[in-house]
Amino acid sequence: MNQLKNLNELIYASALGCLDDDDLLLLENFLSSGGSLNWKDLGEYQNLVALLPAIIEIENPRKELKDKVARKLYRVRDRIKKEITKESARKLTPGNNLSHTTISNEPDFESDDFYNVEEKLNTATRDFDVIKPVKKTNEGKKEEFPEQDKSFDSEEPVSEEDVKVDVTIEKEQKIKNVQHSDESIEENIIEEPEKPVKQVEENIIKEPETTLPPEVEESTKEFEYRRKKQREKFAEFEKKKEKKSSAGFVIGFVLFFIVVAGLIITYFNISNEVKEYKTQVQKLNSQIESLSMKMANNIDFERILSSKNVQIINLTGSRLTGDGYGKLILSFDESSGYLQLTQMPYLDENKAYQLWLKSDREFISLGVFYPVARIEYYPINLPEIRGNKSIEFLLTEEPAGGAKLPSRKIFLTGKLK
Amino acid sequence: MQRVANYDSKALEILYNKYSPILYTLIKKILSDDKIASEVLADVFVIVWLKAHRFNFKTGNVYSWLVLLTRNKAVDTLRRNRFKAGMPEYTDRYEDKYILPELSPEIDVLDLETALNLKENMESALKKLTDAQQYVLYLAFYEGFTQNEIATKLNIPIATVKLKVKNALKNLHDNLVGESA
Repeated sequence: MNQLKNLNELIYASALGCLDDDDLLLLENFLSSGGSLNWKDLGEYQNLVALLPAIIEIENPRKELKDKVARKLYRVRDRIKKEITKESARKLTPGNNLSHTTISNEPDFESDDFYNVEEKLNTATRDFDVIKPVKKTNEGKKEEFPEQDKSFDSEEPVSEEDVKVDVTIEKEQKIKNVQHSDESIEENIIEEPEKPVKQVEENIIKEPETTLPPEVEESTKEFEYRRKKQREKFAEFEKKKEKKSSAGFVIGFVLFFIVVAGLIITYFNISNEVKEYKTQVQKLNSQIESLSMKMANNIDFERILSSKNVQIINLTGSRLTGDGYGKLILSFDESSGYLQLTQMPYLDENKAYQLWLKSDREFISLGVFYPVARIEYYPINLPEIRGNKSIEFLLTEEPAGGAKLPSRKIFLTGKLK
Repeated sequence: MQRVANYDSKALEILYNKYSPILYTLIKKILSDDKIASEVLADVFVIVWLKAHRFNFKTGNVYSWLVLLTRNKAVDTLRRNRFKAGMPEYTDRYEDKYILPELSPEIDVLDLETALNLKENMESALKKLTDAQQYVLYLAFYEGFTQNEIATKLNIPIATVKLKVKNALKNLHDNLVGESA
């Protein structure tokens, strides 16, 4: 009875699409074992949730989107076709075990239905949009690009050998040309320089034979000496220049290294700061969210306090409670209320507090609570109570997921007068 | 829908023309990005095309089926972006379990025209909810958070979230009935 009630509590989250995996599994197991839910309510809430987007200002999608959908359908059609063709080919292969052949992730088409499905898919996508289906055959290409294809058709087929012959002829021609030009260069080299070399040689041989006057000889020596000095100076200058440029390079490299290192350090500093700010923002956001929840709870609290028939019940502690105590603030008009717990002892991780309403020897669970702060308020829903029955409240220690009946570990009790 | 299940493309086109604005609006609200929203809408119609046979023709509630399917697909895309590696592989079975909505066999018929006519009533019914209830509805429906995730996000007990979800839907329902009366 209680389990069914708990499962029927899941229909709200199920309708809203926010069930956790555990609850979903619970619901599935229950339904697969032949269980039945409050289907009427589930349907009502599913329709209600589906009405949520009706309040948003409608925005029409772009017209091209329709084409996109059509294109996507073509792709799906092609994929299915391929799968089916593959599958049927596999089935036709001798020695293939037919009982093991399935198409993963696609509708399971019988091989006899293949052509029907293909036809259906073809007609389906043909009408959907203005886009012409692009045929993948060569014929299709011809239809779509007739001029281009004709030009390709008019060309004579070229065989691999033709290409080879062409290439070799070209190569031979080039080699011949090169050879020819080489020959002519060689001829030029051989023929032309002969005369000047002989002339220079003659000149070199002839030169020392000439005798110079002593003044000229001295001046030549001096000139030679000056040239030598100049050469030495130039060499020194070159060395200095080389040294300078290498020093410049080293300095440049060091500067570059310093700049890069500086940039890296700055980047890390900034990124660390950004990280810190991000965590601060996250903390602040969660604080804002929990504060807004608290504020919203306070608004609920105010609503309950301002309703006509409010009852406050002081819950008496047992020897287990220590300094802790609690209160119930109930509004039977609103069918809701709050449980306030103060300084309650901390329980083990696998334990929780559970609030019970006892009426006519029947126990109804009003919720499971895990107090973490010194003072906490928990919203509770009250069941419909008919007649003047005596009502008692108990707060007990139970396993973390809650229990069907209260245990003997009673922490707080209270009576509705 | 019966015609779509029989691969009647004309029927799919009619369905697209009729529902694409509200479905696209819903996807845009969840995902914000134009390009991704277009992709998801296209995906939704591919799912409809391939899985229309999974629709419960006895209920005949095309509107709720399409809206919830679209919401599930958009939220799944959002969650895949949010959790990346933590999400299970998107398979055919996954699609059947998490994307295709399982409507109650006793659901009433709701059509697009009725839904759009209820816009104002729905708006005032929503406004009558407490901020906390509105926020929980928003986190669950548009942001795709599960009850546990909401509890973690807001640092409140799961029992409180469950109660908020329940009260939010109950009150919204009562408010809407009150508005429509």
